[in-house]
This record gives sequence, C-alpha cells and structure tokens, in this order.
Amino acid sequence: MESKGIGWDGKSLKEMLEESEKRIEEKKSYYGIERLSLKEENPFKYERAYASLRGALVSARETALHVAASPIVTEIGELCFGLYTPEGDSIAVSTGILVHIHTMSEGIKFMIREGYEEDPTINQGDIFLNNDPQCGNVHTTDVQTLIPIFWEGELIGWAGGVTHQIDIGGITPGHTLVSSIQRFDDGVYYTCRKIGSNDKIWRDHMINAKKAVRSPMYWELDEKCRLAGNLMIRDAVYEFIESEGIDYYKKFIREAIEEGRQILQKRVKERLIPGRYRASSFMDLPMKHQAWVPIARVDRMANHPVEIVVKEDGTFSLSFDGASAGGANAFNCDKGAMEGGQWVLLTQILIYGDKVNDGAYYAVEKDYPLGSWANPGDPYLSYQAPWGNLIPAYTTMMKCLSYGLFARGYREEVVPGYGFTGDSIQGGGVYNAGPLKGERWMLSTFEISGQGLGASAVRDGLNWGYAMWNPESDLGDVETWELFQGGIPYLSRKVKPNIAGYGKYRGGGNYGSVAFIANSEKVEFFAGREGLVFHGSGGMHGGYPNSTSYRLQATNTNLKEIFQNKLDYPISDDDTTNGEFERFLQGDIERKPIGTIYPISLQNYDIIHFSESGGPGYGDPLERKVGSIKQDLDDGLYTSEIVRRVFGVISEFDDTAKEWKIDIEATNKRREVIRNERKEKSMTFEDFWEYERKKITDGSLYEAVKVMYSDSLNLSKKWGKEFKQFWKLSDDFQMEVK
Amino acid sequence: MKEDKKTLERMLRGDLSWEQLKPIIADQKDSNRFDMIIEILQEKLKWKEQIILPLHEHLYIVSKGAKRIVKCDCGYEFGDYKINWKTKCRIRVRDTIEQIEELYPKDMGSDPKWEELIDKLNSLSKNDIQYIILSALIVFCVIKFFSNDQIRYQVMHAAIVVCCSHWIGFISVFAWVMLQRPHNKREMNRLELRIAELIDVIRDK
Repeated sequence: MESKGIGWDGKSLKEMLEESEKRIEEKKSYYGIERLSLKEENPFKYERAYASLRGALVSARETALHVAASPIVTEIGELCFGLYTPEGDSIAVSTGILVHIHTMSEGIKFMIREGYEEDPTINQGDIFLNNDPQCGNVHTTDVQTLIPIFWEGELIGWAGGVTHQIDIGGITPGHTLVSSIQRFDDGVYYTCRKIGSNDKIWRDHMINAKKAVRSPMYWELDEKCRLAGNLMIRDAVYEFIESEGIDYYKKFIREAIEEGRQILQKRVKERLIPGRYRASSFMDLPMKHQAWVPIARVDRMANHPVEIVVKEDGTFSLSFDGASAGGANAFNCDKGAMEGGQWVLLTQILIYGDKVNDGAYYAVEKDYPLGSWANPGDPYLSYQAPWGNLIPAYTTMMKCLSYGLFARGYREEVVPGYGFTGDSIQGGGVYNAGPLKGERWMLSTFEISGQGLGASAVRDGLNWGYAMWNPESDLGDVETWELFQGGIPYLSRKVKPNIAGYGKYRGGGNYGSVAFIANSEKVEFFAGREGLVFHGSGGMHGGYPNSTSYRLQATNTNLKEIFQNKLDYPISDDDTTNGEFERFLQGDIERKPIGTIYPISLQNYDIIHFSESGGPGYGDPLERKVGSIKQDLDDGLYTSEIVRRVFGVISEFDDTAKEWKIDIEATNKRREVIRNERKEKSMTFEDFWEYERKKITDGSLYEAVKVMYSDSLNLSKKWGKEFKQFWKLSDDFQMEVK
Repeated sequence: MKEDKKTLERMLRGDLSWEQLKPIIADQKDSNRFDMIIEILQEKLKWKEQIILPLHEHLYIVSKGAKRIVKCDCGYEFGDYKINWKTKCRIRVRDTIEQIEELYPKDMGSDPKWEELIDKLNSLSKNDIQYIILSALIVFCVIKFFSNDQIRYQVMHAAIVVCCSHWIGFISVFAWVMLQRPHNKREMNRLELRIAELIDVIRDK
C-alpha cells in the first residue's frame, strides 16, 4: 500500500523516525552514515553551507529578540533557535540559552511518536507550542515554539525557538517556583499544542494564554518573538535550497549531524584518558518548617553521584546510578532536562568552536535511573524547579572530565565546577502609588545569569560571568531589572567578599545586593539556592567549594526615617557577624543559613539582601601567590581575616597608599603554623573510617542525610553494594529512617 | 598555535596573562602536549622514577621497577596505583559549626549536620623524618655495639640506642595524645549536639 505521509518520498514522519533510530542502532553512527561524502568532495561548499545556516540562526535570534519586551529576553538573551531534521535532530544552533536545543528535539519527537501527522495534522504554516517537561522541556517557564518547514509538499525540517518567561502562572509569581510540589502547581502547561496556522497565532489561544500568566504583555511579545525568529529561519532554509538544491540539503543535514558526533568522539580521544571517572555532589531542600502541604514538610538532601566511563574509541557513557529519589518537591528533573544539561555542558567543555548539534547527544550513552530525581517517572510530580538538582549535579560531569583533561596535560581546560545560578530571588507585588498604581510588578531578576566559574589548573575562575545553561551569560544592569520590578529598587550592588572558592587558583567572585520595597502592596518574596550544603562537587586538587547562600531581610524597619534624615543605610553584608543591617536599621532583622525559602510577605521599606554565587577553587590555598592575594584584597574579593585564616597571608591596609600591604615574613610563619595545624588536627584514614562509620551504624546522621542514603540504597543495587562494601556493612543493611 | 616548552612552563606556573592564555584555550591543541607536560614535570622532580600519568597537582602514577605506584612530589609513596591513594592520607574532618566557621564566614558554609568538610593531606611529616633518622641511628649503633671490642664504646652505643628508643617512644605517645585530642573534642561536640537535639525533641513534644 502506498504511504501518503508528509515525510520524504511519501513516508510518514513516524516511519522516518523509526528508520533513523534503526540506522543509528545498527551502524552506531548518525543515520548509519559511513563517510562524510559532501565534505570530502567539496569541503569549501560544505563549510560554507553550514556557516550560512548557522549565520541565519544567529541572525534570527539577534533580530527576533527585539520583538520581545521582557528584559530576560532582550537584555540577557534568554532565548535560542535551532534548525532540526524532519525526525527532530538538531542540525545547527543559534547562540543563547543552548540548554534548550536538545529539549526542542524531544518535543518534535514527541509529536511524531504521538501521531500528530494524522491528528491534529502538521501543515505548512502551522505553529506548535510546548513547555511540558514530560515532552523534553526543562520546566514550564521555558516556552518553545516549533514550526514545520515544507518544500514542495514534503516536510524537510523544523525551526524551533525558546524563551524564558518572567512568570508562568504557577502557584506563586515567578519563574522557578520552589513551593510547587505537583504538576498542578507548575503553572500553565502546553503539551505540544497547535496554536496557529498559516503563520498566524490563533486569537483564542492568545486570549487564553494571556489570562493564564501574571505577565500577559511579556507573554504575547515573547510568543511573537519566537515565531518571528522561526519564520526567518524558514526563509533562510528556502534560500539555502534555492541556492544549493533540495538533494544537497537533504544529504547535508544528515552529514552535518554525523560530523558533530564524530567531532565529539575525536575530542574525547584527543583530550581525555580512557577510564572510569567518578564524583558526587549534593543539594539541600530544607522544607520541614516551610512547606505548606503536609507531604512536603520534610527536609531533603539530594545525592548526585556521577560515573563517566571513557572508552578507547572516544565514546563514553554517563550514569547517575545511585541518585536519590524524586518526590513532593519542585526539584525533580525529567529526562529532557537531564539531556539538555548534558548536551549544553559537553558543547562548552569539549566541542566549543566547532559544529554543535545533536551529534554530541548521540555520541554519549546515558543512564538516568528510573525513580531517582533524575527520572522520577511520575508525570504528576512537580518539575517546576529542576535546576535545583540539575545545576549542582552537572558540576560532577565537569569535574570528572576535568580529571581527564588534567591528566592529558590540558590544564587550561580544567574546571572543577561552577557556582549555582542563584540567588534566584522571585515574587512580585502591586503598585499602590505612582503612575502605575494598581499594576502588577514581577520580581524575576536574572542576575543569576552571571555566576562565578570554577578556577582552572592554571588560572583563577571567571568573576560574575558564567551560567551553565547559557554560554553567553550576562547578569544585566540594575536599571534593566528596575524597569519591570520597580516595586523593589536597589540600594546597592557591589562585590561581596569571601564567596569565591579558596585555592591556589581561586574560583570566580560575585556581587551582593541590597534592595527595598517601595510604593507597593501584596508583595511576595522567595528565593532558591543552596544554603546548608556546598554547591556542586566542591573544589579540585585541594581547592575549596565556594560559599553557600543565606537569607537576610529586615521587616518593620525605620528606613523611611533614615531616608528623611539622610542617615546611613545598609548597602552590603560584608561582615555577617557585625552586619550593616544590625548597625544601621531598627526593625525585625532575620538571618537564616538556608538559601531556599518559601514565599514571605513584605511591606514598603522592608529590605532584603541577596548575593550571587562564586566558583569553586583549585589547588591548596597555601600555594596561592601572595601577589594574587593582594590583588584579591584590593578588589574586595576576600577580607583580611579570611585571607589570614585560609590562605595564611598577613595583610594590613595602608591608609596613605589606599591599598593592601602583605607582611611576607609573617605570612611565611603563618603558613607554617597552618601546615602544622593540619597535621595535628587530622587523623589516619583508618581512624577517619571508624569515626564516620560509627555515624552510619549508630544512626546519628541527620534525618535528611539518612533519607538520602536510604533512597540511593533502595534505588540501586550496584551503588548500594559498593556503599556497604566500603563501610563493611551487612548485606541486609538499611538506613533506619522515620 | 603550537606552544613551546617555555610557554607551557609559564602556564604551569600560572604566569600567563589572560591574553596569552586565551589563544591556547581556543585554538587547536598540540598533539604532543602530553609528552611536553610530562617532560616539564619530570625535570622539576627530585626523584627519578618515570611519570606515567599526572594524577593531581602533586601526585603522579610512576613506574618503579616492575610496579606502578602513586607518588607525591615530596617523595611519599602511596603504593599500587590501583589502590585508592586517599586511603593512605591523613584526613581532617570539619563536622562542627565552629570548625566550618574557621574557613567560612558565619552562615556562608555548610551545616555540618547536613554536610561535613573533608580535607585530605599527604606528605612526609617531621615526625616521619625523625623516626627514619633515629631508626637508622639505632641500627648503626647496634651494629657497632657487636662489632666493637672496647667496653667504653659498647656502653656509648648502647646508651645511644636506649636514648633513641626512649625518644621515639616519647614522641609516639605525645603524637598519639595530640591526635586523639581533636577526636575527643569532636566526640564531646557531637554529644553536645545530640543533647541539644534531644532537648528540641522534648520541647516539640
């Protein structure tokens, strides 16, 4: 029977996808391609073709972002575009928030597998919207627009664009909702839904969507931005085909992906040493005294063990075996989020500067254990803030690859990790005075796009300039954020000392800010970040993790009188034991050592402090050059006291010269004292083993830690066996949890 | 860009500026980078075993006779490379708030109830060196004691052996007491924390 599909040669998309997957499985190469014939025959034409598509995608992004109004899109560039094969594999990508390139791939494949070709049908000019984490997305706040591209009646590809919303209509205002515990709290869901035809978004959809979120104007313009970019990409594809021919296009898109796969494999062979690499990271979720719903009132800690096996042929596998369980919290990740995270980091660590596409995805075997936070397998859980696990978990992949890069001699490529993209402060309120009285304002500061990067093995980490999900990070200007969150103007933003991870090479530093509530009512405020555990897998080769976050706010303050009388007000919290909040303000000042908090209410003249993350350090801090320490002090990255305690450097501020001076002789003595202290205060491995084992066997570990290990023991026999063997526990050992 | 040995040496010392380092990161890599780095590292070491693989800032897998062992640049040998070298380290555990706050400002470090901070240390300690020197002296004196006919010298060598043995015994006991002190302190801290938690539980009830 003759097939009447919209795919190539009359095939259905489902048939095309099945054939593609079969060829990949059989030949272990993309679409079973054995040689890059187009590149071999005419490399100049081939490279020009790729550059033209890549250029079109970058151009589409740079143009389309001006259609949007949200500063998250226009200023920070939280959008990206991709071109996909009919089966949904990315061929080329724009710049921007690249974590979503592979997530859109999963969205397209979902539509193909679900038979969208027959119902609701896929036609030229159709527009599809997706933000469902079950269909490849990271969380609902990342909204994808996908359009099919037809040529002479055949579907020859897809264009896709993603923007990050300011608000998604969830249980609270904001974009990453820490109080969400089930799907129904996550905000509006669009599960690969057709929302337009003939290149126009249907009016009923737009009316509906604008009522579903708290920021309708931004939603509408973001949708138009994504559609505009996609249409530009479609036009560029038509130009390409008119120039090179449809046959060349069809062959080219497959070979470009296979080349992407081969590039990753070659890089792995070039830069890593075959073997097994392992690291772990953790994340805290202190909800026992915060959560609104009884089932969520539990302190949880997540275990993120990673194992990478690099094979001699350059292929490698990535496993999260031993990960703790998902549950009634917002930090669950679905497969799409995990694959997006893996993809974006591989493109940054190994294949930057070359052809970046889904070839990198196909070069890696993956294991996201069912039931774990990395693949809970329950669509009714919340997937609203998967970043809570995704971001720290993937520091472990970075660290594992860094062990290989170090051993191979590429020390300049080493990165032990990166700072958590937080404080992610959020919320919002309603203006009760001024020209916008009665209007709602959103607190969605995307300063989180600029975090400290970890140190390498030859230099310090990048300050305030890295986000794992967007290689072009930018924390934006204060004035930009105040445009749409005018109810919480800044009092300051300045370098915050002591947050960069310590080491011979320090991690990147970052800023702390102080803001207050003005002209508003009904203000909600919450935040998400690590607080009770160090983020990620720590430093490397003796380097220390960057500092954790904490919450500081003052309510019922006398700030109004301070302004009226022109008195000093807090602009920082550089000294947490003798803070400016306590010194300058009257009111209720609250400090908490946790980073993630449920929404609280704030009123006019209440003040908050928040800070972004530093990066982890590399090497022993006692080996840091004193000249570099002087620079750190002059730059305000560390205080004199921390420098004395950790780096063993004795310094004094020279009031005349207005700079820090180092006492070299006293520094040498201090460093010797620290070295001796290390010997005195350390124990043998055997004593350490006994000491820690006792905590496991006598049940004295904190409940959240016990639950975490209990999850891991129950979810993975392999991980459990190793854990029991190491600690010499009986085969039937179980963590006793309440 | 192909980096010469001098540039790589400067890179390992951390002496390259960002402007000098960026092209090394961005450009194609040298295929002989591994060999060049090994050559530079080998020249800096005071021992002769051939480096097989750099493992850490100060540790190497090296070839020692027919064996492959992990060796520190200070000379300490961790043994077979297949055995986790961390099991031969001294380990410092920070599991109280006070110990965490020695390194991190208040509220800016982990809560040890949730996560402890572990430092792994390696290197020959002064005590180790003392043991080696004194033990060698004892062996020397014992040999001399039996090989010498004159009682005067035999008494002298015997006296040195006795003194050295006593000194080793004394410093071993002293070191053991010093090492146990933080352990005991930790135990006391843990007890205090447990008591505080129990009080909270009683209050909650």
